[in-house]
Amino acid sequence: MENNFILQTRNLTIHFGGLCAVDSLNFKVRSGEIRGLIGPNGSGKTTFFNIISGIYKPQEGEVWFNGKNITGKRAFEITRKGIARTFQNNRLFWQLSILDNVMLGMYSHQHARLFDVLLRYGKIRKELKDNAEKAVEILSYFSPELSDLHSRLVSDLSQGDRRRVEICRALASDPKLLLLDEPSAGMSPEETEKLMDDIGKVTEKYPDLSIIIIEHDMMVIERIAQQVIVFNYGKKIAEGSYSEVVTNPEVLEAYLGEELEDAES
Amino acid sequence: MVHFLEVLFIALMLSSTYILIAVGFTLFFGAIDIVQFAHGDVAMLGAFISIIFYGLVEVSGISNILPPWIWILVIIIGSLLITGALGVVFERVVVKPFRRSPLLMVLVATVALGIIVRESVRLFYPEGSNPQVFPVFFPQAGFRIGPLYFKAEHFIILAISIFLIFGLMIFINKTKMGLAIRAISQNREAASLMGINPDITIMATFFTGSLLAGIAGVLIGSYYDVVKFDIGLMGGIKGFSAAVVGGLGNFQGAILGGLTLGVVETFASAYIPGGMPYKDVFAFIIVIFFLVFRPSGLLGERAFEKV
Amino acid sequence: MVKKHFGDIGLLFLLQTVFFGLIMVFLIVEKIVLVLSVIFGTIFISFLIVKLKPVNQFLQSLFNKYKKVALCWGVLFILVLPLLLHESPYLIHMLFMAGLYAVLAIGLDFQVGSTHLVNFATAADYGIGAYTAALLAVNFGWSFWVLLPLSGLAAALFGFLLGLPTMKTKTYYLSLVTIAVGLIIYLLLNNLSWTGGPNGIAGIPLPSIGGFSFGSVLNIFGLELPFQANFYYLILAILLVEFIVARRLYNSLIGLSWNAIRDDEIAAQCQGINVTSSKIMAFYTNAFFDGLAGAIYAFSVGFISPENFAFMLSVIVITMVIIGGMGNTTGVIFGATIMTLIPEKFQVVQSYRLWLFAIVILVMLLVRPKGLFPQKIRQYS
Repeated sequence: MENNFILQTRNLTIHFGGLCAVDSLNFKVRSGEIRGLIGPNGSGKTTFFNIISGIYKPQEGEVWFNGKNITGKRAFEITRKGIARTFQNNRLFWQLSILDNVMLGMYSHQHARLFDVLLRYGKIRKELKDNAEKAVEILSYFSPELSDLHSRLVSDLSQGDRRRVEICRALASDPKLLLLDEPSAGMSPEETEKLMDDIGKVTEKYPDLSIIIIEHDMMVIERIAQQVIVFNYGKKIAEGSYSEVVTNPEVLEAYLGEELEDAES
Repeated sequence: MVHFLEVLFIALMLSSTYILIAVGFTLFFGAIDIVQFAHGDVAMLGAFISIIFYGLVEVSGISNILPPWIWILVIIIGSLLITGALGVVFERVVVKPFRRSPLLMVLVATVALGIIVRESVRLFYPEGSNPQVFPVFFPQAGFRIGPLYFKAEHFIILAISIFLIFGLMIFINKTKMGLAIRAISQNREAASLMGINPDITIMATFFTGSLLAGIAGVLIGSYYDVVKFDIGLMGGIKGFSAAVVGGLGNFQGAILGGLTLGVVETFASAYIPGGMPYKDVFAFIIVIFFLVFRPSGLLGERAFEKV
Repeated sequence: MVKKHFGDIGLLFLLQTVFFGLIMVFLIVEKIVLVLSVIFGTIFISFLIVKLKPVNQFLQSLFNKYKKVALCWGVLFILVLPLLLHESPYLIHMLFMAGLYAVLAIGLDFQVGSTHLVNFATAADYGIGAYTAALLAVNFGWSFWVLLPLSGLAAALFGFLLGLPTMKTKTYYLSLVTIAVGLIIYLLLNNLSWTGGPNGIAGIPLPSIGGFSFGSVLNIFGLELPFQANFYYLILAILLVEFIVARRLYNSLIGLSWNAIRDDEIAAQCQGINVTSSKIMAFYTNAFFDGLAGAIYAFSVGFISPENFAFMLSVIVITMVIIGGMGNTTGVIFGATIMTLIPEKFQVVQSYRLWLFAIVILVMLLVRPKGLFPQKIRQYS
């Protein structure tokens, strides 16, 4: 596999029962790139993320990350190698505080062993304290309110703040690849504006971080993505810049279906 | 020396009673993704309620006036209906409040419910801690087919179970309510958008499952001739195990699972010397084996959660 | 300024002493009416304290300011209890049992409270610890002090082996397996010849330390304490160790990852947490302490039988965790204590005990599912 791609998939395929959710997918992302991933509902975008992050195992094909074959590896192993993600339906740890959530993002670098916890407790406490400071730093970079309120339970937050915490948690693991799954889902236009600023801040602070972002809100894609890929029925149907992709007739058909043809005839 | 076919027959009969309980577990899991740990005790209640009805019938002298098959039928149907209703009550009180809560809540709550039901019988039913004689509902005659000896009662038990299992299949597949139950199993929101009332459907599910458990209780009571307040604990665990082995949420799985468990248990206690007291252990070992190597069961569980 | 400190500390002493006095009254008094009035009085007062904000805040700030003093006074009281009760060996034994259940409950809290793993096999771990200790002591004469950690390890091994295959399965399967395993262990203990069958194992000798046998009277400050006090102090020591372990686990990434698994397993995996191995760890740490408790129990009563390790014990311990507070070690100790002591006082309803426990579980789950003392938010500084 070629080396300047941080992520590469070859012939990636997964079925669920009779449905082929991802079909012979070849996908490449470079270091530091920001890729948009769009497509109609059910086209396999989230499934693709789930395979990359190790939640699903593909039936065929390979996934290569940072020069290593990670096909079929389990989710926690993949996270420890440097892939972090957010979820469409916002999977935060609801009964824990904001700070706890971000601290858990750091787990991949610091998984504590029983021996250390029981017998080298002082060292463990110090490590946690340092991590807590780092976590507060990450939070304050995005929003001073969040870092001030870090002992609040995440269930008390607004949608925009929740998404922010999820992104902070993902960043806390110091990833090389960040997968954002419909981050603007459920947000008002103002919140979406703030989200785009946040993502801008991420790219500023972490210039080498590659990002793949699934979105339905085209404004976000237009503003943020350097390259866009379009999925339909589990296959890649177009690739290019935003303006190229948006005028591609196959893409339009995928989104609007037969109506466009009927309308035109 | 017991003949192989006789053992097989007993195994089938026992299996059919397990299936009746397992089907409840699978229905409940299919409909609302929960496990009702007190379901076995619902079966026990079915048995005890029919004992109470039998007592009433004796005392009121009805048994002398009407031919036996009439009042036996009435007793059985009456117990079933009450057991079904109790099942619905249990769902409203102990399951519904925890619909949006973590799974642990409904699990522990139904375990607690089971204890309350069991202990209530032990404490408040006269002589509750002792085994109770189960009334004779079915003819006790035996008959021979060649070298084999069978009891009429066992045939009747098997026949009733098979009848009910088929009845359930027809209910699920061919009636409107059955369709509703299948719909909410697949997708509760979509079903309610189609005009199906999920609450009523859930209640119907619990009524049906509990009714079947009730009859299982009556059949088990008839087979063993005694019942005790704690038969529901074992019965429930075995019923649940059968449902799991077959594939939780899968109706045919419940049948297959019940058969597997019943056959293993009966054959183990018949043919393994000294195996009798351990018959329950064999059943559990099968379950644990399945959970380790094939957790989705023989025929596969329902779909996983959406990520 | 000094006067204010003394005044506040004095007030703290007074309040605590009154509370301890209530506890003493509750323990000593025998008339049901009086016991009930103490219980309801305490509930009423606690209710008031919780609801009346100014009182609540005042008390909280008082305790927070002089935490160390309050703690010392509390610890002193606990240590001195047997002296105050030196005429009632039965009460001291009851306190010992409360401590034993607290050990079981804190262990179970790792699984049920922190991780939401429903485990009904506490009685099995406990029984394995007890029988390991009893069999080796009675048949081979091994010393208690060797058997204590050994029983813990035996139970932990069992927990580990049990956890290994079951951790990959879902919650409801886990509860089924743990119930089944509990029943299997009970059946085996009841039927195997070398475990003594239904008669169990008798004649377990008393432990001794440096020539002093645990069966002999304890002489402190001229007072003669019945031998039950020896076991009371022993269980306090174990409880202290377990408490420290529990606190350390809680305040580390291990405890945090357990909570993460509780809240969202998939998200937890995606933070790099090996969910299966974390769950197994919850399993065997729980089992270890259950095993310790089992060994201590065996040696304290001298005779064990399968009846002591029935499914109901698992249910009782889960009740204590649910009532006390899931994920809150102190809460769980409190839950274990009241759930041991209160039923003991109402001997007349002994046969209703299980029934009442189950009703309490249901009520608690419906009304206050997080327990009397819910888990607190972690502080890192």
